[in-house]
Amino acid sequence: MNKLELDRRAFLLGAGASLSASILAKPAFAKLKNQDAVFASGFKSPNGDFGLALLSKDGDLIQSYSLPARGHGIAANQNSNWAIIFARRPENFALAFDPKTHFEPVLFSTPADRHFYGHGTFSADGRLLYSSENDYENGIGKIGIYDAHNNFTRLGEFNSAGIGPHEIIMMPGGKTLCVANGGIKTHPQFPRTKLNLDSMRSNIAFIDAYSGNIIEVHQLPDNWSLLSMRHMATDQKGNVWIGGQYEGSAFDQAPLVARVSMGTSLQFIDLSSKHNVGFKNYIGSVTINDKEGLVALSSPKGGQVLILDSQSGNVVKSHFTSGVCGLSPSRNSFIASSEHGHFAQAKHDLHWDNHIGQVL
Amino acid sequence: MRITIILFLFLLSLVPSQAQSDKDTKKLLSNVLIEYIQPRYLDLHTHAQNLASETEHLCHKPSASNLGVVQSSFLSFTHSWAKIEWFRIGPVMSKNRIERILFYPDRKSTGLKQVQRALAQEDQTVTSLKSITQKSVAVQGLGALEFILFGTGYETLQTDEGSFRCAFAEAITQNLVEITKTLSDTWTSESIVSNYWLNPSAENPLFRNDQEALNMLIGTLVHGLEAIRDVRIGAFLKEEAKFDRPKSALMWRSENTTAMISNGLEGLLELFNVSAIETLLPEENSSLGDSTRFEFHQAIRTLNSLQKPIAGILTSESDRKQMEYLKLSVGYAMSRLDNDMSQQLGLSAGFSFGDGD
Repeated sequence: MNKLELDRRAFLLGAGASLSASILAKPAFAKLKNQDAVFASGFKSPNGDFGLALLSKDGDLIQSYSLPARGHGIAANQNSNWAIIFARRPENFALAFDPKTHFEPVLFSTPADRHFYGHGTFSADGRLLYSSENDYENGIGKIGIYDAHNNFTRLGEFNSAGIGPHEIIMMPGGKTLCVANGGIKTHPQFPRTKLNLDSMRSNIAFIDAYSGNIIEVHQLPDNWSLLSMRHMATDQKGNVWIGGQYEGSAFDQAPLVARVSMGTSLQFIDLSSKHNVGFKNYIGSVTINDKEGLVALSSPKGGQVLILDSQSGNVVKSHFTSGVCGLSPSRNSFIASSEHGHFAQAKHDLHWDNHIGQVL
Repeated sequence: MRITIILFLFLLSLVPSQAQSDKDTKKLLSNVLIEYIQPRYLDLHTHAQNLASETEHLCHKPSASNLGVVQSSFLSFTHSWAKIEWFRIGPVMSKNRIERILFYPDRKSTGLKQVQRALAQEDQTVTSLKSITQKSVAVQGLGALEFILFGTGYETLQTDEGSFRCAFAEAITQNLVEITKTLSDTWTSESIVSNYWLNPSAENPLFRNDQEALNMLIGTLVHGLEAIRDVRIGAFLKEEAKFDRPKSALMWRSENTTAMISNGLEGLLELFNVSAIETLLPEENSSLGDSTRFEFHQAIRTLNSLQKPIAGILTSESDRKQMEYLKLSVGYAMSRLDNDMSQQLGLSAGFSFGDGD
């Protein structure tokens, strides 16, 4: 174990101690009982601390927990008592929390030679948790597997079929994982530096959730080698919508939105120049409202939310709002959050991270 | 439709603050183009031409003095590059031009190994402009050239014995001339890129409005400082001296590490000064410009006392402390821009907030 990892472990231990002081209080429990939906998101407070918040569909704050560093993606499953917030790279912690508040939060971490990439998903029965991880000494993407019934003990891992796996989702049917391998190599020694832009290749991989066997890999064409596919959502038919981030020049007008399903080639979605420019080469979140047949994609850099018809791919609506990124389907629509504190219809003195997860 | 209603409510409360006027931002963009981007790329191209012609001369007439001229010219080029390398907008981001000029960090020394292999095997594909541009980016630019001019075996360049090595250097310098010519030409006043730069509009891929233009400028400064602190200094300076890695430092062979850092800071300070972005601040916060400059000057002053080989700095307790202080100073400058100034201008909540996740 190298020095960096020792330092991190020490940090995690300290963070775990402070978490016990932030268990849900009774008044919050009462608030939770009255909600028909509860959402979770990571945040940064004005004094620079990081945390996790539970909110109502209107954006009212129900409860918050402190986090040792910045949290990112949320995983939840109706068959599990737990929801998870994963650390943003290159951190290696995740916090399991019980949205119904019956159980105390569990802080767990990757092995010393791995770190999280900020996303994960449960198995259909809620027993296993899969997470996107980095084997950073070897520059290989991994899917870590944790036991949700045993304090999130790590059970093993398999290859992600690429470098820099980011969002990972469970496909309808619960047998196949879909992984967005962003293609960008990073190392904790250089926390935010992209080490292989000269040779990066992103792909979307379908992987057997039980065996880890790679079923299909959809490689991006060579002329878009600098396009990193990172965020995804699937509808109930298995159509996966993907949002990319482009590492090249803004003048290149890279195709940032794509759709793929198992057995069907990856297709880029044609957008008008205005809508493409509105993403500023950076899509930070993708979500689907299956009932309404809509896909929403957001860009905090461009302040754009674009809503597409999930059948035709046509633009239904675009919105421009500063710093918007977090998205989640709600009963009849979407809710959104921004780094300026807006969450649905509420405004908080917090900077919301890029993702919202519905946890109840 | 309910979707429209909900997002619209959200929109109502998200009208960005626009302290600055269109006219002020246009002037800022024009200043940056005319006083920073254009002269910096022209300077870089001029240095590349000098380096190429002096290398060509060395290859025709190898001698210790001609090698010295090329080494000196190499350092001048790298300092010119350091002053603009954190400006990562436009053509420099296409066709891997950044990595082709300088591939760093190279964690596993894959680039170095390729250079050493090419030298050992006298691989002819690294000796012409046409073929070297088809090779790995790691053998095309400054990392490779530094090893050729300062690494093991460099002294062969003083005689005919180094003819292959010199031809390799010559191909790299020609490559640098080509790339820097493209950069300089693309930013001329009549170019499409410059037109986009000066005129934010709805379909402008650089920025649609003044706020995005300011975001871009502050973001460039913040990300540049972050990279200098975390990648350039962080590569060799670890939490404890026993973990320091002097041979991971950029250009340690040419004893150019600290000069690259100080030129990088000077380039960012120049961009900051030329933009005069502080004039867009509310009057009660106009001193933020001076306090930001103070942090830059502190860092540059610290570096001025550390213009020596990095290995020596890291083994001297007092010099190492200075280096630690430098790292802090760079962080303070970042904080002034990322937290204080961006908030006063109503910009993003922190420029590391939306980066690559």
